[in-house]
Amino acid sequence: MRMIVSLFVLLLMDLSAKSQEPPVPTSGNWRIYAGVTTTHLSVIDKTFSSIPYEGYNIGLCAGLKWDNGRASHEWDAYFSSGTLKTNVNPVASLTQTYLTAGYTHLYHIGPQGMSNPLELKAGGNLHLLYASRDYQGFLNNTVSNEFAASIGAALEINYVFSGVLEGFSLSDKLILPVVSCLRQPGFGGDNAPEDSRLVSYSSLLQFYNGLTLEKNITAHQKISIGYTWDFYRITVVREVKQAANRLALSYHFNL
Amino acid sequence: MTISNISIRHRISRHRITCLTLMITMLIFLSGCEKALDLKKAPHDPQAILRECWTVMDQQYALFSVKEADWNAVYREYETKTDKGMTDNDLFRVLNDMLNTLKDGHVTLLSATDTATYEGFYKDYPANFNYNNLLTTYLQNDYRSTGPVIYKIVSNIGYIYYHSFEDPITPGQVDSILAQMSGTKGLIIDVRNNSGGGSPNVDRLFSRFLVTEKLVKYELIKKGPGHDSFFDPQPYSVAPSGIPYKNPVVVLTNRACFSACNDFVLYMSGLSNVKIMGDQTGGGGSFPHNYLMANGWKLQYSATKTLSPSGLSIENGIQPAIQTGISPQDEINGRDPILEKAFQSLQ
Repeated sequence: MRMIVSLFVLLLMDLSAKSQEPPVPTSGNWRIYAGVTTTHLSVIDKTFSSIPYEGYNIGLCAGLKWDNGRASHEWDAYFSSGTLKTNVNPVASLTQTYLTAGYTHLYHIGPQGMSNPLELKAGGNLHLLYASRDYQGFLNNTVSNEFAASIGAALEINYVFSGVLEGFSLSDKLILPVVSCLRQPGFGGDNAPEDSRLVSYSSLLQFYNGLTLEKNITAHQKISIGYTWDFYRITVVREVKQAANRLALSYHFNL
Repeated sequence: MTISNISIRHRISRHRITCLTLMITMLIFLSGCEKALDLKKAPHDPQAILRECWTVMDQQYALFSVKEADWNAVYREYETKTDKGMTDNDLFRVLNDMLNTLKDGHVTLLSATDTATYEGFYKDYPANFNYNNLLTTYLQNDYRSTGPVIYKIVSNIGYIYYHSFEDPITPGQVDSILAQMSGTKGLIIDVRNNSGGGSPNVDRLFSRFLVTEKLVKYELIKKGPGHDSFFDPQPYSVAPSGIPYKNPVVVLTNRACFSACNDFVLYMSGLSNVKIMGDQTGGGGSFPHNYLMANGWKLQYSATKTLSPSGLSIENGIQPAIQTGISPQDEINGRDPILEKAFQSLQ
């Protein structure tokens, strides 16, 4: 799925460069969007196993964006839930709930306007994540979860097409949380006291990259298809790694 | 071609190169990351499986101090017994032998086709119980049953047999049984061969013998991977429920009384109107947890340490106040001297 989306994006990029006319940037101050997602999740929680539990979860995403041409503010949220399984033991499964929410504040960098279809923005991000897992077929110790509130850097690249692909735009948003407040259950099991601590990226490594292709429908409405790679790795108390490959189909409305 | 057109074409070309470069970089980064970040299934071979099993136990098993096992020496010994070409069956045996050095009935290895656990805590000792003799000689096949319990009143002494705490007993069932026992001058609770099960069932039965809330044990939960890394002992208390039974009680035990049954005997032994009679219990005072290994086998291990209210480990069993047993001849003759002695003590 990832490679198909990648090839499609590369093809669009190539077509866009053949345009002879300068691009016409779209603008709007407030934008709200919502969509459905399908996510392939792979998670390893070493308290329970060294092998990944994997599967597809259906979910929802939503957000609110404000851009005044100098800075943008975006609030976003994502939720999914479903069952993950292993390849080595057909009976082993877990029920996973995964939520993220964030606020991103970006400043426009470099020249803007009709003659420059390529926009670069940089700034900061506040990111919240919560994941909980309920392992089936385990005794006594069956539940694991983590909550993290992180601040970090954010970068966004936008390209507005013109000519044949007039109305399309492509963006890539990269978020790198740096410092986090992390809460996990204790080492020894469900009844262990919870552990809360401030950690840096060395203990909680997180990475979010979202590639989105948007298409204008009307002056106020857009649809988009987006691919996000979302990864985190915790190496304190309970060692957990999770990767999520998320495809989102969203509807946008400029207020 | 005009100069402005050349400028626009140059700008577009630069944009194209920039965008393509950025996108390609992102995509390469994305496609390579999961493998680099070790999210794929870990490769496994027999030596890696043994190492994984040993490491999980090393970090998460709670009873090394009680078992007095040199776990590093165990690894050195059993590492030499694995080789790349060995079959799954052979590997299973080697892992089982390694785990059996701990002599812990809560440590179990399960594959799709096999289950292995240490049973020496009762198999190496006299049985001290014969269910058939109980039913035929003493209950004379005339008894009542409610839920998992069979019971009878003989000469104003009540007898209850709870064969496994794995089978749930409801508060209503406990009420019904003890209501019938309320007029008895004494009660025998037989938990021989009860291999444990659910703690709620233990609490549900025990709470009926309490007048006030009682501290019954301390649990030590692991804080980290070190053998002696524990949180402070967490007290565990049980509250009374219903009308308490206050008359003399004798609890019958043998070596097969294990895990939750061991807890029940611990709790009851702390009551002034209760005597424990029979053989030492099999121990098993911890909560077992599970771990799924890289080859799909499931490991069960003791993840907590339990102490009595006075701070003593109950892992190796609880001694009865009155030690008595059943000889092979007694068993052949259909006799149960443990039960007889309990009955006489309540007369």
